[in-house]
Amino acid sequence: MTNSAVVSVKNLHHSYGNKAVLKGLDFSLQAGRVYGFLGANGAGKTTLINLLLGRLKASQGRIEVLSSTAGSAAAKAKVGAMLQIGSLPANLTVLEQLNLFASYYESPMPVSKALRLSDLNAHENTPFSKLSGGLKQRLLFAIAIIGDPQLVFLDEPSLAMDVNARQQMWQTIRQLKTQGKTVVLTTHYMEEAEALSDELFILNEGKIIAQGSPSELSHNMQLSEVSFACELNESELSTLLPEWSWQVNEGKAATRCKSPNTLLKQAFANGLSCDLLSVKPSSLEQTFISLTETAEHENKTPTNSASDKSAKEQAA
Amino acid sequence: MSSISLYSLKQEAWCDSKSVFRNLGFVIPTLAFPCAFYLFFGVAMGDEKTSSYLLINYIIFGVMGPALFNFGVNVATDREQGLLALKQLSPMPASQYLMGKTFTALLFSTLIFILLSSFAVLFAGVSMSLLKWGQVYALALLGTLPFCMLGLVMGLSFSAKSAPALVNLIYLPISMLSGLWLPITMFPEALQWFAWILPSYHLSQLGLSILEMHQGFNLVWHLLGVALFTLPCGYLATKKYNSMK
Repeated sequence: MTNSAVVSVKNLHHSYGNKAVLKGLDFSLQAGRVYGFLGANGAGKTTLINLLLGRLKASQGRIEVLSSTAGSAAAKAKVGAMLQIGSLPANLTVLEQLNLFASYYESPMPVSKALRLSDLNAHENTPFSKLSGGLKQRLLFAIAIIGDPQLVFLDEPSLAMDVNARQQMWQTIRQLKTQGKTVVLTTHYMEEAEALSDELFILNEGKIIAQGSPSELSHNMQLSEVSFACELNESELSTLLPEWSWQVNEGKAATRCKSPNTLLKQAFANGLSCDLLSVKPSSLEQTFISLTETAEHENKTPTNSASDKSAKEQAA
Repeated sequence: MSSISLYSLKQEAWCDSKSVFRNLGFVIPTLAFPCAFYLFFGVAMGDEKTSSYLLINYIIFGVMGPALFNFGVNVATDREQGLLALKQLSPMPASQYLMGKTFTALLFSTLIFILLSSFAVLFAGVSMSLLKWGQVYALALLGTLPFCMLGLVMGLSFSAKSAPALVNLIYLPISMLSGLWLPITMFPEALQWFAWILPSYHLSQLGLSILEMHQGFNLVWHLLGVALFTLPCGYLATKKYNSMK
């Protein structure tokens, strides 16, 4: 862990009463990078963000944000956050809200720049209640960056945005990165996480089960989806090719595997013709699903099927 | 507590006031209610003495409303909508948010004082020295504070949906039981003693003492009564606000 870490988290545990939500996280975030946190609902994402923002106090472990305690006045001055919020004051205009939030910081970003970065110039005199869903998101984004923060938390930034607005938002996030700011992103759009993040953290049941760049994650997993026409049923196929877990539906066999060559060699050796063969790389979304599914599966019934094994290697 | 910049405090106060005053559905009833009551009971139906007596009481009644509502209902809304969370993430100290809201309540109190006093002078022939007018205005400002604190406790405790009903549930009975509508001396003795826990009763007595119409207790007791209500509410509100995160 270097001194230049923007965020450093050591042995972080958190529980609500008896319910452990985070179970020992260790990571550090560097300046000028975009980090994506992915996880199913209840994985601990929101709790983690609230801890990093200082809205919650950790049950155990240490969190340092920009060399200060999370949530301290010093940290607050250099951190911006875009939260999912119901409403800002309905009859204050975009400009009024931004001027107000800018006044909270000692050296804020000029309001005109925040307006430009969030593409709100044309709407500066519109009251909040008259903004569309996407424009409201952009105003919340503008408020997150108005303090000219070193570290920006974005929770579902492009929710309710159309394709153009989303592209614009991505552009701005990349711009923040080139200015040396650190961005922490939580999102449900896998595409967004993949497009923006330098590094992804996949959280499941309070633990980081995978970490790496989007391409690393899909590559290391090397999960390919293989399917072909097959007259055998599931158990017959599983006896023939026991290393993989098969799904047979309407004469089509499918599985996910690390090494399709091995699989196909054995299939041919066993006399399967593999008509209508299709082999394609697993997308990040599928990687994510298989990782979290496996982790859940492992927690309940420890088995040793092939896909479990590969995910375990990855998680280790 | 980090320091508050004067510029930021001004922004906060103006933004809160603009936000509230642009909501005419709130402003008009809040101002019209005490005005209508005063014009009907205090001006149309009474002599000059009644008009002066009720002027004090309806000013107190008038300043209670916006203080209770801007804190009780609007704080509950800000809290539920997440605006408060967003403000807490910024370096802005909590007290600034509260001062902004207090400023709005004081603006309302000023308007109530100007409106009711004008009616009193123009239509009911009420007259008093400039010093006494000054004292009545000071009382209107002072009288805003206990209700800001009470409203704040409510705003931090109840949901945005239940807050308006609960504020009304407190606002109207308190006004009645403090003797703002009917002279307190007409009440049974037990109720007269009950009024001692209500800040509006003490404010009313303080105001009436300016016109030498109060019940005659030493004014120190009334000042103490206001303080003993305001300070614990303020303490409770601070505790609730800090544990909110």
